[in-house]
Amino acid sequence: MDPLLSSAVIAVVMLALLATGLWVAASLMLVAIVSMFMFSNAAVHLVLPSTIWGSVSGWTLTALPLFIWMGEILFRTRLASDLFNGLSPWMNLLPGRLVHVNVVGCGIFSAVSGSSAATAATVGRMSLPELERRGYDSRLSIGSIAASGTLGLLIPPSIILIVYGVSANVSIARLFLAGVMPGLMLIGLFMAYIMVWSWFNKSKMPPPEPPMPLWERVKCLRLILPVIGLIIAVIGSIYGGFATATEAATLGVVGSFVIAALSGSLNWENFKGSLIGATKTSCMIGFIIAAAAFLSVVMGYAGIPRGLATWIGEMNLTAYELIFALLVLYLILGCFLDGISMIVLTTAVIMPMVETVGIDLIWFGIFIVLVVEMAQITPPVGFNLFVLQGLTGKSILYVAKAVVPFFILMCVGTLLITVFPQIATWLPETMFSPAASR
Amino acid sequence: MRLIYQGGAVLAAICLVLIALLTLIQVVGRAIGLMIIDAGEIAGYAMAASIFLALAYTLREGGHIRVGLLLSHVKPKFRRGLEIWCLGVFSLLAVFLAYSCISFVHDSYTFADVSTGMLVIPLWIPQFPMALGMVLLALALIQETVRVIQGNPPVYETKETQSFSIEQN
Repeated sequence: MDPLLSSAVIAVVMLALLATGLWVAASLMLVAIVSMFMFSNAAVHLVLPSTIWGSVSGWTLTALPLFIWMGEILFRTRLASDLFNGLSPWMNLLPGRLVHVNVVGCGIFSAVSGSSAATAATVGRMSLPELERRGYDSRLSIGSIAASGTLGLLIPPSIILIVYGVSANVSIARLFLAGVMPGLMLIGLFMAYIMVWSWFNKSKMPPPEPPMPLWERVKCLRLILPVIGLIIAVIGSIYGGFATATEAATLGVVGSFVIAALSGSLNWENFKGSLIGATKTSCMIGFIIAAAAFLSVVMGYAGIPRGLATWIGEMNLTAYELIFALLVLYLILGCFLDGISMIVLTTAVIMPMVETVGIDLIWFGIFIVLVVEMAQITPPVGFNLFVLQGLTGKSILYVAKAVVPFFILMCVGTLLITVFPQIATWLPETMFSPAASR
Repeated sequence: MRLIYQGGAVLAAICLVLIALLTLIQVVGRAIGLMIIDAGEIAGYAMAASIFLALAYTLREGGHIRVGLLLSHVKPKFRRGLEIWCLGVFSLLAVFLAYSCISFVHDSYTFADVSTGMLVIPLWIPQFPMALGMVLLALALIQETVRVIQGNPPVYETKETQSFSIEQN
């Protein structure tokens, strides 16, 4: 069968199965098994288990549960309130005042957590009531939390970048470093917007907090020092080439325990909860990775990636045209699928195309994550919208409207890294000791 | 049965701790000049064991991702039909997975496959949890299918929405 036609059939069947509510991993495996019967004579019951085994028993994947665990431990500490109290006296000095705590707080939390909804939930649970009480515009604070929460995906450690790295066979350490600058860029864009908004809407801003003397403000900073130290240790050890992603994750787990112990939230209940939470999440992701690995083997048997890559090659698409086409595809998929499923579903067929037109795979990882971030805040399936709905009790439509300006800013961010790919690729290129880059 | 699934999850959690400990030992060992043999490889095996042993428990906790758009917007009767379809298909798939994983491990055992590292580990030992986990998953799925056919709500129903938003993204 023609690879174009067969890939279209596979895509339609897959989406239909997913729509009925069949679990993502099960849909992937079912489609793969049926396609294998159609396209090859190889024995499914032999190829299936050996592919699954090979895909999850590797050492690279071990960074995944450890980073999840690190986030789960910190999620159960007082970190959110420490962030709020440590940051607010400083943010009070900026135009837009405490709304910036949302953005910077999410930025810091996402550097210890690899998940977007957890970031939005942790920071939002603390700061939204505080901002509400002080009379800040609720639309601005809700929008900024929902959007800044997505930084959890981009700023290392990032669960989704590990998944991308494993499925596209790209160095996780390099991907992590590539996410740093674009993440800071988004923080900058969000903060700039909040400042501009507050200049134009002076009437909607509550009166400023009483100013705090400099020494008091410095004293407040000590609340967030431990976590800043942990971030520097984790990302710095990767950047400096001292540690692989897994080793940095172990450092992160140990450091999180120290922080939890210091803040008095280290007890058996929290230990058990964080460990079981991490086990469940990494089981879910690992199963999807295994299913996707088998699907890509089957696709390879059917010659689909090669066929599509040749097709793209014959069309003489420029890199920009392909990126635009993929952007549209991912935005549509993002309306129905979560980020991890989107990435594992598509890497098998999209990577060869992307390589054909000469796009850097590290850069492409950052690009996909930005698009997934946007998908997190667009209805009908935007997980951060649900989180904010749960936190505030406002309707999903209200939340969705509140994030629109931030969504536009993220489009601008995506445009910027497309025009200036160095924003993503510069930092990993300057990384020390590339030998340890896996 | 519930205890067996939970037992799987506890073993899976222990595997995660093992990964952290192995990496830690490796780092400390390197610092003081000791080579820890194959720590990375064993950590990889623990990773696989952890994923498979937790499959059944994660299913019952509503931890596996699915697209809930249609399920949450249809009438209860139709929803029940959909659940039976999903569970039925996944059960068949899991039985096939369990069967092929068992025969895979059995092959490793009869052909005496060993790991590629310095420690020559017979591969069936780290592969055994994969087969065990798949069997547990198949059992859990069949149990759920029967439950839903009998007219009960699936055990993961109430847990799905919460775990969806917080842990997985």
